[in-house]
Amino acid sequence: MTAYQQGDVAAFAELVARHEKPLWNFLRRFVRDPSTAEDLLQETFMRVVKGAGEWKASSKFSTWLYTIGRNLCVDHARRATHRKAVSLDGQSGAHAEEDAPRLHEQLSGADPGGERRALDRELAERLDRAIAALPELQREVFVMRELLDLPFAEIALAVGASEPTVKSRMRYALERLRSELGALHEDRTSVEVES
Amino acid sequence: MTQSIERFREQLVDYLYGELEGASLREFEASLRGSEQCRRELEAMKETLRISREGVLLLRALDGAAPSRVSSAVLAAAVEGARERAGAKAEGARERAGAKARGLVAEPPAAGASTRQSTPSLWSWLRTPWLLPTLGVAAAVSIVVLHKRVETPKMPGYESVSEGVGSRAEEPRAATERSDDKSGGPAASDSYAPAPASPSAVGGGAASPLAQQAEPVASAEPRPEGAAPDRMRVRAERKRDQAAPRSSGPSADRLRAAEQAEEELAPPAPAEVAASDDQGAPSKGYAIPPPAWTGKAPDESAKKEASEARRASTASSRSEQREAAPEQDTASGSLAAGGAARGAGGSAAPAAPAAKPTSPTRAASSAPAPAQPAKSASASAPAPGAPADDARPVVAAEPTTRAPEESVKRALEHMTARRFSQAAVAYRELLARYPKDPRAPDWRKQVTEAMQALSRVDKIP
Repeated sequence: MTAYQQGDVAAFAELVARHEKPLWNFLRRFVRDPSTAEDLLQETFMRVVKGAGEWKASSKFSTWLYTIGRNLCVDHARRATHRKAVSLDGQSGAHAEEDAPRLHEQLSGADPGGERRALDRELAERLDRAIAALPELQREVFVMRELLDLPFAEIALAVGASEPTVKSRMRYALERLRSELGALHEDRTSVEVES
Repeated sequence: MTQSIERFREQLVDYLYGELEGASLREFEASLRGSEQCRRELEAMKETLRISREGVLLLRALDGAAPSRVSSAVLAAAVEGARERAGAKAEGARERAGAKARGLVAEPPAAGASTRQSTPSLWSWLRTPWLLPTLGVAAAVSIVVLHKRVETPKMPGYESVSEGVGSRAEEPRAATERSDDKSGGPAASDSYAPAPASPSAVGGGAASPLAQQAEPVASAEPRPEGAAPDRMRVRAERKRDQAAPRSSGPSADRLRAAEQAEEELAPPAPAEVAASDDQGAPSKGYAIPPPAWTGKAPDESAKKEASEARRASTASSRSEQREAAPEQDTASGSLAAGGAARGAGGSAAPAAPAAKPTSPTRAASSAPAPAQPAKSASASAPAPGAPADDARPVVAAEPTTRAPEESVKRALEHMTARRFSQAAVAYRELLARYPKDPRAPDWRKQVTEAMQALSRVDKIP
C-alpha cells in the first residue's frame, strides 16, 4: 500500500489479487447476495483507492480493508432490511448463475462417489446454512476468524467492539453451530468408525 | 475452589484458540479438573470447532474467485487515483517551492513541478522573517519623531519668545481665527484688552487680570518657522540686557527709540483702533474687527531704523558699562541675581501672565500703528506717530519718585498694552530704585520678557 501511495499501481494490483477472493467471499456470506456482494466488493476497493493518501503504515491493510467492507455491508443491511436472505442454492440473478455454481454440484463434482464425500458435501451445505443463520454480529466474527483467519484483535478493530466482546460473540456463534451441526457430528463419527 | 461456570465460559474461547496462559490457564485447568460440566462443555465446543473447520476447509475450496469485472474496474480506478495523487504532490511541491522563494530562501523548483508560479498570499508575506524587525524599527522611528514633535513646543526659550512677541509669523492665521471668533469666549476677547490708560476704550475690562487669562490662547498658537535662531538671539539679548545699564544713558535712550519704533511698526490693538476711530464714544471693544492681514511687508525703513538703533544701543551700552561700572553695581547686580534665579529655574519669580501678551491683537495688521489712545491719554505718552528719537520723553516722563505700587501698576499697564520698551524701562527703574522689593524677581522677569519681545522687532515678515 505504501508503494501504491507513491504511485506504484502494480503494487496495488497485487493487493487486489491477494485480498479480492477472501473479501469477495466474506461479502458474499455477509449480504447473502452475489450481485450485491459484487457491488460492495467494487465499492470497497474504490474507497481504498480514494483513501489511499490517508492510509497510515502503522495500521494493517487487511484490517482496514475488511473494516471498509464490513461497514458497507452494515450500511447495505440497514438500507435493505426488507430483503430476505438468499441461500447459496437459491441464488438469483445472472451473475450468480454464471459465476457461482451450486454447492452440491461443486461437492459432487469434486469427489464423485463414496459415503465420506457425501458427508463432506452435506457438511459444507449445513455449515454454510448454519453460518447464514447466525446473527449478523456473530456471523461476521465467525467468518473473519475462521474463514479469513483474522486475529481477535483485528476483528475487534474491524467491527468496532472490544476484544472480550468479540470473543463472547465467537463463543455464542460456536454454541449455535454446535446445535446445528450436532447430528452431522454423530453421523461423521460413525462413518469414521466404520471406515 | 474452582471458578464459576460463567468465568469458565469467558475463558473458553481463549483456551480453544490457545490465547490463555499463565495464571488464567492454571485457573481454567483447575476448573476442568474440578467440574464435570466444564469438561463436557469444553469437549462439545472442541468438537464443534473441529467440524466447523472441516466445513470451512470445504467452503474455502469451493469459494469462487471474485468477478473479473470488479478487479478491472478497481485497477482502472487505481491508475486514475495514482495520477491524481501525483498531481496533488506536484502542486504541493510547487506551493512549497513558492513559499520558500517568497521567504527569501533561494531553492530551485522541485523536480516535476511546472514553472507556473502561485500568487503569494498575504499570510505567506506576513510570515516572512524580516517583516517583524522592519515593523519594529519603523515603529521606533515613528515614536521618536512624534516624541520630538510633541516635545519641541515645550522648550522654555521658544515659548517665551513666541508668546511674548506675539508670533507675527502667524499673523495671517491669527487674523483668520480672530475673524471667525469675533463673538468668542471671554478669554479670547479679553486677550485684546488694550492699555488701561484709556478706560473708555477698554470696554470695562481690567487689562492685567484679563491678559493673564489670555495666556493659554497665546500658548496654543503654532510655532513660527525659524524659531531656533530666534531663541539664540533672545539668549544673546538676555545676556546683553543683564550686562547693560538699565536706568539711563545714551544707550538706554537709543533702546527706547528702537522700542518706540517697534511699537509704531506694530498694529494697534482693536480696542485702540476703536478708540482712535471713535474718540469719546463708548468702546466698541471687539465689535470692530482688526484690519485684515494684507500680506504686505511693514515699512522697511522703519524696521531698519529700529534695528540700527538697537545695535547702536547695544554697542553704546557696552561701552557705558565699562565706564560706569561702579555706579551700576546695584542695578546690574540685582538683575544678574534675577537672571541667575531664572537660570536656576525661575522658581522664585512667580509667573507673570501679563508678560505673555497674546498675539492676535498685534498680529492683526502690519500697517503702521495709528495714534495710540493709551499714550495720548497718558501725560507721559509720546505724541502719536512720533519718531524714534522722540521716544525719550516716554521714559523721562515716568515719575521715578512715585510709590512702588503706582510704578508697578504703570509698568504692568505698559506690558499689557504691549508697550514693551516702556515696560522694560519702567521695570528697570523699579529694580534700580527698589532692589530690595519682594516683587523684584517679578520685575526682572518682566524686563526679560519685554526684551525678548523687543528682540523680535526685526523679525517681522
